[in-house]
Amino acid sequence: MGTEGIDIFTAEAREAREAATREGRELAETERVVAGAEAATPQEALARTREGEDIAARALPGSRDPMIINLGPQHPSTHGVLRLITELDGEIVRDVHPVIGYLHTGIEKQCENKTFWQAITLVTRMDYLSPFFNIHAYTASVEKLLGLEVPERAKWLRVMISELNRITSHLVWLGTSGLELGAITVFFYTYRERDRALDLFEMISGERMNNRYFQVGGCADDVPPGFLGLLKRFVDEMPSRVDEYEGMLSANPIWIERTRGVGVLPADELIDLGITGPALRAAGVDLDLRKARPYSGYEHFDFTVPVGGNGDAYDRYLIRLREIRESTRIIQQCLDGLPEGPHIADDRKVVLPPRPELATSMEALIHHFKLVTEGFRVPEGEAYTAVESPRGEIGCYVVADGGPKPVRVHMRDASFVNLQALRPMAKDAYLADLIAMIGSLDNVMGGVDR
Amino acid sequence: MAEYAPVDLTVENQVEFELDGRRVAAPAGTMLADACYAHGVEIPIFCYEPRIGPPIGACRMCLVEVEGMRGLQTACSTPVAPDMVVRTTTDAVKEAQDGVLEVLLANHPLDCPVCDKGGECPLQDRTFKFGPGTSRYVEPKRHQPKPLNLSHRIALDRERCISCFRCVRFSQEVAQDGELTMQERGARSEITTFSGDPYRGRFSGNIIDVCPVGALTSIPYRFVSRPWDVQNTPSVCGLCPVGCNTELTVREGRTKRVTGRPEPNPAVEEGWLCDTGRWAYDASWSQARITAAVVREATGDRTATLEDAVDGAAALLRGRTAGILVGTAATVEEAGIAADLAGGALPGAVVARMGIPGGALAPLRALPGAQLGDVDDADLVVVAGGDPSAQQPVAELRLRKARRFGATVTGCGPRPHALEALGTFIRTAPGDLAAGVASLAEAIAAATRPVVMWDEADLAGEPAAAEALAAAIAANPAARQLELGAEVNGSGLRALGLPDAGAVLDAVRAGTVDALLLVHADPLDAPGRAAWDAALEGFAGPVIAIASHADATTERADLVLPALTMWEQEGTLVSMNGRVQRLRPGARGPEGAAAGWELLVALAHRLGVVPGYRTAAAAFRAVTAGRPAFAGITPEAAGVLGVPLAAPAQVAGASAPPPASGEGVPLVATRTVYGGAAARRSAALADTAAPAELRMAPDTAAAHWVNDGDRVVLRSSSGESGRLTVRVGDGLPEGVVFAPLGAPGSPTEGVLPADMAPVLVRVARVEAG
Amino acid sequence: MSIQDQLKGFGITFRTMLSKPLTLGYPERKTPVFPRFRGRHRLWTYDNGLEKCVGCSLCVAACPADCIRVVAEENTPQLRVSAGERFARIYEINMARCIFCGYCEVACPFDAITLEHSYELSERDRRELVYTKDMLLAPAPKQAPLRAEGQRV
Repeated sequence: MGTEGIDIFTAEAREAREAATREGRELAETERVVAGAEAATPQEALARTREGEDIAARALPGSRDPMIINLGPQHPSTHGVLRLITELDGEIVRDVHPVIGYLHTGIEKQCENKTFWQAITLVTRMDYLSPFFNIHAYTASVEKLLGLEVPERAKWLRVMISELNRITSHLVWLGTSGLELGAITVFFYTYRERDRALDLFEMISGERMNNRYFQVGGCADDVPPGFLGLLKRFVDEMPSRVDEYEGMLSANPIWIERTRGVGVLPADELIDLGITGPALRAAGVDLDLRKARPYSGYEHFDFTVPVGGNGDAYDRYLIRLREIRESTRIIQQCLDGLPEGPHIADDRKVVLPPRPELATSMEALIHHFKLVTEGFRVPEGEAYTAVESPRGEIGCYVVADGGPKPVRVHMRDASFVNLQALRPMAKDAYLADLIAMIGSLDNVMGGVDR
Repeated sequence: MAEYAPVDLTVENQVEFELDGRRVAAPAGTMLADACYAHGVEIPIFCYEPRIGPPIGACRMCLVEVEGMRGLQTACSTPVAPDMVVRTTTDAVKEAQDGVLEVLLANHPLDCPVCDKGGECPLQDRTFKFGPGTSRYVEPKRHQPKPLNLSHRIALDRERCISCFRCVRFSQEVAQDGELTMQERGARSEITTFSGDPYRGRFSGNIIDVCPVGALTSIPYRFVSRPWDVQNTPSVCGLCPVGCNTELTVREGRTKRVTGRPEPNPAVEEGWLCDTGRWAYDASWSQARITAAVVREATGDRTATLEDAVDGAAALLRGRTAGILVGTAATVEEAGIAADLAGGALPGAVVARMGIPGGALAPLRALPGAQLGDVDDADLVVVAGGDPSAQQPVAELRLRKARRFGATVTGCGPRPHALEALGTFIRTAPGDLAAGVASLAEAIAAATRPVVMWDEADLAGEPAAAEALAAAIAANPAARQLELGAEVNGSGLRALGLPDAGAVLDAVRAGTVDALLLVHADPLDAPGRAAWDAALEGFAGPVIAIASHADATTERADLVLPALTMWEQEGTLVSMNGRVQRLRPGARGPEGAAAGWELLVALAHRLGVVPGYRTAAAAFRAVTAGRPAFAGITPEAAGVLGVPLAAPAQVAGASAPPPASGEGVPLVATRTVYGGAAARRSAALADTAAPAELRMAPDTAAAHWVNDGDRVVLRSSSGESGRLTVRVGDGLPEGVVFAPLGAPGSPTEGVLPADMAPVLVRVARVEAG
Repeated sequence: MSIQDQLKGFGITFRTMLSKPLTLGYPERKTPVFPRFRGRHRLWTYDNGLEKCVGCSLCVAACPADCIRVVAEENTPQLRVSAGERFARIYEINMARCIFCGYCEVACPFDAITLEHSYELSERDRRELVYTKDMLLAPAPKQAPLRAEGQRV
């Protein structure tokens, strides 16, 4: 093997390359992995083999040649379908190449074939753990293009539901991260609360996930009777639940061992990589769009942005738990001060007319018909609006050409950008810690691949 | 959008004016609505339709503010003036638009969900774009029984009408059938025919296209689909040689509607279609449609898969010398590939086209040609022979438009027709068209921009007249000729250099071919039928037909390969005056059928010769290579609107027909598109089918001892006709009888020779009326 | 681990044993849904038996998943199906494609289609997931319970 000189690849890799060259074809996907991730053809791989001396020289003194192990895409701890090609030196991860695209849904492209209204139901499915944030970014961009003012009540409803969504997202993260690191109990606890939050989603929007509750101009419906009371009960109880989680994990020696000092990157490197959200704040950078660039009336709310200091997985854990507490505070404030008024803007050229009018008003019927079949037209232009999702900045870039369908919808998805931090983090770390790092970054592959 | 007139912003001496604060220019005389549209400002309109005629300002939707003029002005009827200051977005204009729409919608029923126009309705579009979002009107609306059948194909919903007069003006000014009118006043105004009878017009369907609301809808398309359920494909009509540009509406693989294009072709049909072209599409799934290959065996007929059938066809043709007959509706690709077979897969095959030989027409075709659009600018339009309204329907609208624009219309010919009212027409005796042409020569010479329309069938039968007409046109360098062709793709087949059907007929008679391949050809249903009947009687070899519909010939074929129709396949057609236009595939066609060109390519494969093309476009390039008429013409160049042939589609070697011989009375046959073969297969057009009638003047009837209603047969030196019913009519010329081509059962075709030469017929009564 | 710790642990265990479980014995017991829950579709008729749906296809236009197919036809005196001029001869929803966004319900100007509460929609063959008009006109074979007012979240 490597000790024989220039061949830094495994015998298996060489065999794969030779077989492919013999058969005069390109490397198959699996072969490409063993022969080196970047080599597209057998010829290329062989060329690299010839230049192999440098790579051999790069190997650490005394270490063996890296073993290439494929982690995922069907691995329970890779959050869906993330595939990692790891170069292992024993238990040490020398390098890791994330391979994405296994959950590619083509939603961004598909949006170009849907009206602005229909696209709402698609973008909600991108980052499926934070559906409300996806639509919020999208509708806000469309509203910006339209110059449409959202009523105050709708803004507050959006904040209220978004914060509830932040809680559910963090609960999923906490439960699954616990699972990955061997703490099964916490999963049952967090899913207990999450299910109650999903019940609330169901109550207000009719769906437990992939909700299309936010519409261009406001919210699809006003709150149903009894909703506010149930929500209040939920947020009243939530802090004590968070205490339970903390009781289980915060002082748990195994949890501390597995997370403290794991996945540390200096703040400036995180900034260079464009990392946002809890992963960035854990390293001490106080950046939260709700404070930095308040949207949807966040300036009216009193809340703090938790910031860490070590930038390790443990800090991220702590920050997310504190964010749950802050979210309950925001929801409490929403409940206390929810303004009266319409839940959606009264712009007949964009918003569907009230249903009772369809039976009497020709104008309303025509507008309803055109809005439903053709959709509203959005003036030519482009807009980017970002919201602070549980994972960081989710921004939506929408280009309109004056027609009823977007020319381009692009999501700046926090998971996608945050995933970049994995490689520098994982270098020279233990393989077992790699799992903790993936978990602590909280990537949702639906958002990464879109 | 077709609703605004195109404005040429490149001409010299434009009028400058101010539009919403911008300095813009437009040619003098342009209406404000058109000028604004050309400069990117949409003025909402309902009644304005420049194709119909001058604006009438009936709907008041297009009000704009013009500085210095009291009140708001209608942009559709105000021409641009120098330094005019126009504002289209002021509060006063917005208020006027809201007001007009409010009144229009006050009595408009809440029908959008059930209305066929919903989704493609100008009233909806303009309300959405310019109108108010809420209504103040709460009173009950006007209610009327609905829908009324304005004709068998047009439903009228009076509640929805906004009294824009577009349909009435179309009827009065474009089609000039004078049928439609507006009755009553105010809220009771309604569209109706003068007599209250169904609207009878050859172009009646166009009022559906121009209606800006859902008041006039197509009955065959009633509730069939919604604009978002369909794909619209621009294509070309292949029912007559005019080559109107159409738009096919296809839902779930079937053509559900044919309309004029939203962007009409100004050089051909200008967006108007005849009713046959508009409603014949249901022929594509009629009873007569061949949906699976048929193999005739001693034990009886059986259907076969397409694969097996093509294998069978190849087996039948292998080692034989084939005669290949290409029908007049075959596309350039089909005809070209068929001709190619003779060079490779079927060595020694004789390939010929159906249709008129036309040997005498070469000098006429060599003269400078005009497009139909050029007729608008002519100061004199001459119609030599023929009956455009029956044979080339949309040409009639062009003639009427030219007349409206001030052109003199004149002509000559043996048959009375609808266009004679437009000017002085000289009735010539059959066989004596030359005399009529001679009397027109002076007018042609004196005109500054004359266009001479000449009928292919009539002039092909009278070489002397063709020669005289060519001389008359040649005498005026400004004069242009426009052929009124007889066959759909006649020009295309000629341009490919195919000889006339006589070549195959002779070969069949002489026994030099021992197999027959028919490509969309139906010689037993066309002039010259008797000769083909006799020749096929004695023909022992296999007959293979590529056809889309069952007809007399497919009944005789040993193997029938089901082909796609013009609504389903890709291909190229050349219109009568040499415009190369592309058929685009819209519908899918039956499962067991394939495009004719694909069948021919498959056949070539089976016969061991692999053609160098696999797509229709590649086939077009291959088969037109080296043809001077197609020089420089590619499918891309033909584009959506088509291009004229590079050189006239001439025929080689055809001889002029001899003068009529034998005894009897001269027969004048008229091919009918309205009510012709396509209409027979269409349920929607069933009531328009041309009756099998022999028309004659009273004295002529008396001379032949027949009365009105008698059933007769005709006999000529070429054969015998089917049964015709005698109709005696005043106003018909003496000593001549008239019969239609394309009537059910094709009775007249039997007495005519294949070259459409003039014939004398004897009338024999078989049954008293 | 001291005896106190063990007792503390068992204490939690015993306490939890006596509390009401959060899980539900599905399929014997079904999770109740809220009134806004969007499940299986239903087409409605008027009291006189005429269908509310006029086959206007607005739901087809609104559907982001392209899962509805409507073929309309005209009502005749002999065959009167709906209250309007036209009716849906074919009304099919491909439930395998449906994303339960409810836009069809929003689009329908006649309240003819609604999304009901039934959520048990799995079949053994995906062809059975193409629901026809007759299936949609009938009540859902597997009804889901509606959550009672104030039932605990």
